Amino acid sequence: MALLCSNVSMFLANPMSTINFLDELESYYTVSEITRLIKDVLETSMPVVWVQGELSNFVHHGSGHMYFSLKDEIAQIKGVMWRGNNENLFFTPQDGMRVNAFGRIRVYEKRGVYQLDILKMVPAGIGDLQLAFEELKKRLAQEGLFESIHKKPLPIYPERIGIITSSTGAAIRDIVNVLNRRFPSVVKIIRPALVQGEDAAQDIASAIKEFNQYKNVDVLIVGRGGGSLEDLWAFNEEIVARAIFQSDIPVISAVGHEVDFTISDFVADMRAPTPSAAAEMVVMEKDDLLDTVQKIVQRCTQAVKNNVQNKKEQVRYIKASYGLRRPEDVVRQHRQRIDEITRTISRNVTHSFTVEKNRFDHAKSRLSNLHPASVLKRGYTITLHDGKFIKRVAELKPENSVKIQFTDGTADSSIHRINKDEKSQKIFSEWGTDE
Amino acid sequence: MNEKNKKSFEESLNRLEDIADQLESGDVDLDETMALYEEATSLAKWCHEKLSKAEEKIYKLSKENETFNVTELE
Repeated sequence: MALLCSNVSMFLANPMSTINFLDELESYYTVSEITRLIKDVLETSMPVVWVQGELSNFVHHGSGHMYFSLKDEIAQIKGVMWRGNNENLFFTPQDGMRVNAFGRIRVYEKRGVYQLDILKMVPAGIGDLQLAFEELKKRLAQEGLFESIHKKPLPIYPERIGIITSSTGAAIRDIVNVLNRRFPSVVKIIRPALVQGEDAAQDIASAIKEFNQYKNVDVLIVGRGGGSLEDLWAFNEEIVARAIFQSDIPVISAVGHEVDFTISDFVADMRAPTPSAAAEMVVMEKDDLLDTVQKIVQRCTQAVKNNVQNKKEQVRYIKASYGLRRPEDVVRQHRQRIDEITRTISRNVTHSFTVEKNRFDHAKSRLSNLHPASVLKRGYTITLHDGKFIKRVAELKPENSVKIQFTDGTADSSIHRINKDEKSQKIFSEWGTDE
Repeated sequence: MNEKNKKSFEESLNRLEDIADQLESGDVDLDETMALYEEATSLAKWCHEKLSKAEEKIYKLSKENETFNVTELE
């Protein structure tokens, strides 16, 4: 019975040079035993390792697992990345890409093979990210995802804007500031999302889907502020590209700075060079719109004036041609209508934006009507006795000397007789005034 | 955030344009002229109010058990 060695030196120290054909072996390994030994040696001597190599024969299997080889000029090793480990890759691996892979050597006894069971994988360099970018761009372009036929027009006057970005970054501040400056009434709804790191692409894609389920926004801004290629990488992921493509709500991609182009930019309905620029392009300037409204109102006013002028001329024409034979009141009615319209126009000529001001002016004039000076101007007088206003005859006695204030001066007088009766009331009620 | 006024800015502006076109065409009678003009001024007032209103708040969309909540951010 063979000894099962787990010690490398013992294993190597077993020379097998001079064995004759039918000799009884005193000591040997079964296949299982030697494989087990190999497994022990490999797996225990290298618990975890980083390996750099180029990806080849990469397959992302339907089961979710990834199978591939890592190779260099001389050798290659099989690699596997199980679904649970590859879910959080921040990039999509491609053949030809150099990667740094972190994992364990695993020996599969049944098939007598060893492979790298990979836990983490990152591109080995910027060039490799570029490669992944170019590969994905090429593939999605071939599928037609970037074609202009798929681009939805942005709404002209959006009233509700969905924003997908970090709730703490500079991007949200920039977007909100610009929106508030240009079009303060627009409703801003953010779905906070991770914008970098392993889970970012998934989170951004989910956010786009959520807004599409929620529906109640007119346009989406998806983006983040500037950063390294790696920081912006989520926006180069296929899952984000597909979510943007499938969005029924128009999407503006706003990632990084002017120089940064991402896959999201290509697939979005509109690319904005920065988050601020996205806010600039999504709404018009409020003042421009006010100006537009005002111009239309001016057009209306002018048109009404012209129409009225035409009608006036018609009336003159009718009067001239029919003279007195034409029933006068028809003409009068017509003229009255014109006057009414003219009054409406002059009321609205500075149009309704000034309604508030007019109300204020009106209130002011009503107040000034109540001012004693205005009352005097209309012919009323004020009676003073001993410097006090006299409001009731009961306050006076015969022989009192009084001062009567007119609008243009005073008259000194003395009370002759007091008549406390309804006569004066009657005068007022006849005048029908309550002022 | 209640959207009690469903009329959109875009619709109002389009209607305003319509009215201006109609009035400029000159083939509306005086009663109609009057009515259109009054409609135009009230639409213009509405647009002005809509544009001048400031929406200071930022809202947050969140999803919980298949229902969406829109709450004030922070």
